[in-house]
Amino acid sequence: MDWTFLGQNVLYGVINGSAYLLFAIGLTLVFGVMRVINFAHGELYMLGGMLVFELIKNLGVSVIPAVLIAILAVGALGFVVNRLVIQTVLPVSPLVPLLSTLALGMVILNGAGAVWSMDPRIIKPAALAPVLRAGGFAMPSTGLIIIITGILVTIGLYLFLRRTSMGNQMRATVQNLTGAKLVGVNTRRVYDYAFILAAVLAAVGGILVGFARVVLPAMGQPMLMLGFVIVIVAGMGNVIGAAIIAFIIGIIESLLAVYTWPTYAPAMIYTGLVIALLARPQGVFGAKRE
Amino acid sequence: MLQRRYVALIVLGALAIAAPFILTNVFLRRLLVFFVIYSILALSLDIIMAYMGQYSFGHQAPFGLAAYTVGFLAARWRVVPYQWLSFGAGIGVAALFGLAVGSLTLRWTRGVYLAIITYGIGVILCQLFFKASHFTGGERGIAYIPFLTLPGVTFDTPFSFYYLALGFLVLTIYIIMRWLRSPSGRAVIAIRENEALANSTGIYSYRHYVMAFTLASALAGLAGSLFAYFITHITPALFTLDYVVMMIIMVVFGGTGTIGGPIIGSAIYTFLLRLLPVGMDMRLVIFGVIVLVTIIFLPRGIYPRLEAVLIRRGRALFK
Repeated sequence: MDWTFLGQNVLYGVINGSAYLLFAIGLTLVFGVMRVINFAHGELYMLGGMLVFELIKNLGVSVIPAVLIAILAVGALGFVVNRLVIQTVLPVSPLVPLLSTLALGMVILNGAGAVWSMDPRIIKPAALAPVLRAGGFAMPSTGLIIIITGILVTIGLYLFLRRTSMGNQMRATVQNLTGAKLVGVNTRRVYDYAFILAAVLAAVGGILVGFARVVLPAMGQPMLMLGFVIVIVAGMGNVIGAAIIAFIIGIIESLLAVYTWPTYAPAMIYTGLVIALLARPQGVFGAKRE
Repeated sequence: MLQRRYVALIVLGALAIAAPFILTNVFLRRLLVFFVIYSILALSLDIIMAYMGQYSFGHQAPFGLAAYTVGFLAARWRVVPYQWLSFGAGIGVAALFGLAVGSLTLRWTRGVYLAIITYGIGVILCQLFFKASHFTGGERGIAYIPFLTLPGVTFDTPFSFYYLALGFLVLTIYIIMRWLRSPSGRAVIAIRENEALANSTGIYSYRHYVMAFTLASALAGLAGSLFAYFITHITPALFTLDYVVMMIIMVVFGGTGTIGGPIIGSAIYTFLLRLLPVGMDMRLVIFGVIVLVTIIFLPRGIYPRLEAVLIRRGRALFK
């Protein structure tokens, strides 16, 4: 057994896991707060990456302003999407937003395909980025940024949910919608905040992965599936659980790809999802309901 | 009123039979066949969406599995002596799939969970059919599926195939209407309205839901078998999300919970989509926007409105 090889692939798994974390945290936050699964979440992630590409390559904006503009744009889009596509149909039934976000996802995905074409693009050649080496292990600096962002986001979100007023209001809404309304929580504002936060996190994920690899309009699709795996295994709405599971799934996927058949690694992960969902719909951290 | 209904049915039937004589262009006749096959597909999804009140985002799976069963039996292995046998096998595999998935999932999961789990199953199958290329033919799929025959007819043109598909569409409508009036269909609607109440009155919701799910999958399989024999070359693209989104568009846009809705939806989707003078990406964008607007402003779809208008016009006509 080659331990360096194993360790190296665990490292790659951790990088992937951090990207999944940025994606899945928003998905699970929105589900926790408003019981809605956002099927367009992958497209928000994609828009982050594609917008940065567009700003840097075609409009000549430098890196930091481009990233900030893309994040703000996707956040603003998140606000519009929440008000227009989710809040309008949520009163009908908690299931209808599934349809409306699925349709929205199709619009954004194919719209992006029509505007940018479906080809993958490179924002900055990741191969040129410096690589840190220590004790036989290699860590690309782009990957390191993803990991650090992932950890900071998790800690930040934890503090936000525990220490701030809005965080408390969010947790109150998660626990009991009617109760939260009764004690004066403006749940409409909580919904807005949760959705904008989710959109921003998705965009950050898309941008960082875009710098580390490539951006393309279809990049959100496989993430959506992995996001579901993480959200469900952690228990829907469990933000911190999602962060832990994201790392585990990232590592498992990376090891499956190296030690079994790389082509079937995603299929194996998804099969795990189906089994997890059937065995424990409440998630591994969730308490048994009913 | 009842007589007027029959008149409307006769007019519709005559139109359906005359359609390939009106649309003489081969391209339009092909669209006509796709429209009929997609109608069956949309009606089958509507069993889940309207009567069970659930979402399946993996309904392309039984459709694709039936098409691939036909592909394997009739073209790749060529083991079945009669084409109709592989045709039926396609439906059988789809029904078995529905039974297996339904009995595994429907005991515990409803709503959002069911939507995600069916979505996941669709994605898994899509991955497998694309990647296990030594078995499934990979992206190239399976070609040279032979034609269906009946004594005296070979269904090798859109013209003849249209009538075959139309026959199966009528059969599908009959099955769904019969099922809706049967104890099982009524039970499913009772469960949709209030599952706990239905259970407490002695309706075993799990069994009825599994049966309804199996019926929906079998009908999607019927569409899949027809589809395979019509286009004679199938690819794993059948398992992509595009197909299930297409079905959802048809059902939601047309109007759930009716027979006419999904059919109108598939007519508009099939004809309008192919005839719009823009690229495929933009067509899907346009349709996505239409569906969004429908979901937000016309949650019951366009069919109820259309029906109301037609009835008003009809009354004026018969005065």
